[in-house]
Amino acid sequence: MDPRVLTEIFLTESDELVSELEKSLVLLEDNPSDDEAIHRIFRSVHTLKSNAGMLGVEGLVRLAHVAENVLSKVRDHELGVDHFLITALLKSVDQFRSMLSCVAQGVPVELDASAAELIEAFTKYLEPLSTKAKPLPATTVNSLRILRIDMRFPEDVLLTGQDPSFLILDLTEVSDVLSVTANLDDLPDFSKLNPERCYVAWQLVIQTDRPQLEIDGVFVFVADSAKITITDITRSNSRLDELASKKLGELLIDEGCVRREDVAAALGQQKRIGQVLVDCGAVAPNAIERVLAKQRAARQIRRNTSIRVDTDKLDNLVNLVGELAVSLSHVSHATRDKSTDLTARLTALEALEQIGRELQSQVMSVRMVPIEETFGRFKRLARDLAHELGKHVVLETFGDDTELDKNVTEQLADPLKHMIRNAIAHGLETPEERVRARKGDTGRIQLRAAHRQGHVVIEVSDDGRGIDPERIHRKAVRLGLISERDRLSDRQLTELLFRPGFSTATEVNDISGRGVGLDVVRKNIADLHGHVEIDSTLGVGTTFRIKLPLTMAIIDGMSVRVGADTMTIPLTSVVELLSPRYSKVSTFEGKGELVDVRGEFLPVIRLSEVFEVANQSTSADDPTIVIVETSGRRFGVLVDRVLGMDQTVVKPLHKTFGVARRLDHNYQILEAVSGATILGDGNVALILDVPGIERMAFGDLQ
Amino acid sequence: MTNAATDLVSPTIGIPGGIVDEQTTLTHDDELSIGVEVDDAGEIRVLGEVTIHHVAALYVQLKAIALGHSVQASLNLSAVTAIDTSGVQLLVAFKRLHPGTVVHSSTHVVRQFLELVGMTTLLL
Repeated sequence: MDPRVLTEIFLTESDELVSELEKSLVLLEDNPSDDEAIHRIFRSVHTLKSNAGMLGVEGLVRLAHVAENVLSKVRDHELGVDHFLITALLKSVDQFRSMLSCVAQGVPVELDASAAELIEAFTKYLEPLSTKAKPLPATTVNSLRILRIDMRFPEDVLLTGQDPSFLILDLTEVSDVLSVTANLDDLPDFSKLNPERCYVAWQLVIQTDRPQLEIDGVFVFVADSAKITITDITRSNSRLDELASKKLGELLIDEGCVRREDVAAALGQQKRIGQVLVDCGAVAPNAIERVLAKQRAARQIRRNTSIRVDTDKLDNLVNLVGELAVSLSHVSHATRDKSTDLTARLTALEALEQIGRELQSQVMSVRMVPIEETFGRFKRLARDLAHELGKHVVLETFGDDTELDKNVTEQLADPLKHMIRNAIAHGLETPEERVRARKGDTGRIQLRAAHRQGHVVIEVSDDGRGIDPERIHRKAVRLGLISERDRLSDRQLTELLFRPGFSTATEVNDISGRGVGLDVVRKNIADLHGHVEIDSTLGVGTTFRIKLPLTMAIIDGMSVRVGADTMTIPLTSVVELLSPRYSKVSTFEGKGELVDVRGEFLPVIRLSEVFEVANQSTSADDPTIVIVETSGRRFGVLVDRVLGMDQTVVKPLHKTFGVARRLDHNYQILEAVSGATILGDGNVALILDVPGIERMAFGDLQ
Repeated sequence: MTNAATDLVSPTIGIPGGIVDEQTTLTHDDELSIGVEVDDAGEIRVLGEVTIHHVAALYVQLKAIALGHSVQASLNLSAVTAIDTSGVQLLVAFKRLHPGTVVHSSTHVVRQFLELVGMTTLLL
């Protein structure tokens, strides 16, 4: 199999294993006697280690191996679960993720200082086991075990007639010698050598079922002068792993072929191919960096785009493709056969269209994944943050099986994280405050997902202190966003929390905290063609509600004509249509054109001006104002004519040939476009990015 | 108990401080010289016992050779009849002096001992 495919499979599986591991660890902390959770955790780490071993990701294997040993003790009820152990295991989850990220980017996986600290921490959990094994209880004396023997001799040992090789020879009589490693680090340069002195130390790994006394007996004549250490490594077997995982340089040092400084010097001389090419003038340094950055990004994208598909969905697809072939044959026959009447031809065509629609629906379902995995990762976040802030928090999830587009779930993770952090840090009270407010000392955060009217609605709720509209009002006045006299509804006031800069006040309270990152949240959600709103009741709690389209690959769009061009406005943004004939459009100095919509004046943007399109409207065209809404703001978009509504397949802009080239000259225009689609007549239509148009027309703050 | 190293070595036949095989022991009795010589092609041949009893003398000879020898030496251990830890140390140190040195041996005695003490890389 292609190694790249193998790596991709490894990364996909490992991602799932690490997520499962993290989720189960948080559950285990809540219920330490949950044996099933312990088994799941053990299986996850074991499988992760095995997979990493097959791919030669040594650093990951080493960390997973030690963690597995600790988990083995937990599983055997030799070790209890406490907060510190769970924290250490969760830190290893972070390390695994970081290592997997290295694998994805093609960067060598190294054990850094924090990984080494973790291994040391885990080893301490294992220590009671090794000390217990040292006296070798009577019942285990004759059991097969693996011993590591470290031997170091006094320098004059050779002159006393005791060659260490005799001891090794004796060991072969009482055990199977699995490995012999000579350490020649202390061997001086030839010119300084005293050939009658012993400079070599050894490490052996043996397997034996002989009583320990027999093994000790081998060393009886050197026991006083030599330093002999025998360690039972039957359980950890770490030496073998070490041997298997060492790099060539380390092995050569161990074998005495080279000195440590020689390896270091050689590594210092080693050049990467990019450097060699730069040195010989074949390529410029910035070209190397550019290509590497491109490759890293491509690897990341490729990794993120892999998806597991239910075999039922694939079976359905295969069936539909079979039906498609039959239907195509009918259409072909009906078209070529002159005796077939028009009705029969249309019937064959309709059947083909029906299969096409079903196929489209099935293909889209392949991209849909349950939100469970996204929700699952926040339990860890809630656990860590609550502990850090000294709060008691329970995070509950509902509608875990709600499916949405894979791309949407990935891009949704950051905004959700922001909201959950805000809810824990600022929304929920401390345990003391909650008791004073006659609430339980444990705060509750709920994540809910559900399908509603062709959209996915996700809610993040807390039962905390809620948002005080009066405080927002005072703060908005202080920031100059509104005047003292302005009277805004509670909803309008909470909308202010999404303003960039609203949270930058130095005052630290529930209001200022609520604003942290919310402008970014709104932008991220808008990028997903969705929107977010807040419901809050003072003293009761707050709910953030996100409404998203099911998929970003196909959207419901309204086709409009602007000059000679056709454009598509996503239907999720469209509120209503108005005809300028019956709606009053007025021009106000400094404010541009405004349309009166039942007493509310909304700004109007002429798309022909935004896209610098010559007005080619004909007498047949009926100019229309499309009222759109984004991020809580409504405005009108003046188009020449509304053509109709269709499902639109979104194509990335760079794939639609000359369109991007045409727009490249004007970056601002590019901001107003989220993609393109190919129309039934073969022409290309731009899909408008309503938040982008809003930014272009009104700026970020105004 | 089976062991690869035991199968290769004949532990009962040997001389103090070293291990030899039966065949070599027969030739050893025939007043085989001990020392180091360099042939016309520049190959360094080590003869006889390379053990604690002789390493001091061998060190002096090798040192003299090392001073005037090229970095691409060839060290032939085929005529070694016995070797111990001190002998291997000496040869490893010499090889480190000339990292390009090619070390080879057509007899089992050296190979078996190097396997036993985990230093087979001397022959690499």
